[in-house]
Amino acid sequence: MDIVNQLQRQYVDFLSSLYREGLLDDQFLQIQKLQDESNPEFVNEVVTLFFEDSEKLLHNLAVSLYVDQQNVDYQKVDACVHQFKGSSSSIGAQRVRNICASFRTCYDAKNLEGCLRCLQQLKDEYYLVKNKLQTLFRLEQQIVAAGGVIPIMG
Amino acid sequence: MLERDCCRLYQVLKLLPEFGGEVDKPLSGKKVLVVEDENLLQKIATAILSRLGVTIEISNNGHEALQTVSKALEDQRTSESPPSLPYDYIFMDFQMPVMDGIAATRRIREEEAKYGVHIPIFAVSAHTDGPEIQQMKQAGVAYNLSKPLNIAKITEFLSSFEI
Repeated sequence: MDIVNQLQRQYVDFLSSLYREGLLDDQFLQIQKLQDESNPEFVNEVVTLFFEDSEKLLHNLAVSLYVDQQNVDYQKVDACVHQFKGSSSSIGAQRVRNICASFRTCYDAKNLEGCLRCLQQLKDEYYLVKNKLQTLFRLEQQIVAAGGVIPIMG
Repeated sequence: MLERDCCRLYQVLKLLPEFGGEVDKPLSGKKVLVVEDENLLQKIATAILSRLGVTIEISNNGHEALQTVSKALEDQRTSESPPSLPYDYIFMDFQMPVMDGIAATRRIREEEAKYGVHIPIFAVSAHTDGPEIQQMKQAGVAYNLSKPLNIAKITEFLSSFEI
């Protein structure tokens, strides 16, 4: 069972690094706790929904901020960022959530340049956490395929 | 007051398997209306409340919630069984299309007044303070549960609220 131990250790180290680097916070652990025999794919389903919603929101933000820069609808920007803040905090994507807070300061002040900067940061942080979560799920699949169980942390 | 609240919290927490309890559905028998427009958040709220044994109904916005509550109150009035609350609690999101949380809370309170009942409404908000929170309280919200929701937060909150 050496390969399973190796994979499990890799998983624990990797997930720990995500918490340590602030990409994920305690809410992600809370989401994992909601997965059980009656809800065996819960984390995967929730994270998939988060990916779908986030990419729609990033698209809508780009449209709002790039298409007609003389007439930016800051209320639409607010609605998108507010939703992004709620969804990222609900799955524990801490750094994404924090960017949403700075974003609010920019659109409250109708600061277009600030908003464009925040949008870029939001995209960077979102794709980073997406990439990390996909790696995490691949590790989980490898552990299960090797006959092991996924370690529970926290 | 503090001792009694701590005792109640302790009693509920002890029921959960995470704390060595055998009853894994401490809120079974409770019926909650979750008012939320986003799928992701509906899914999380549903998972949390199901784990606690709650029966859940979902409304996708304030307008649907108002219709659902109004109909439930009307149905109870015409039934022969003794009056009871159609829902033990309502979890109400703020920003929703068609009708938002503030307007929905206000309208539900108006509807309830006709029947002399009061269903506790909890706001579920990304904000922790500010004008929106004040407006929610004025509309009749009992408490603001800030996002994100999770088992620990809801269990702790409901155990300190009158169960």
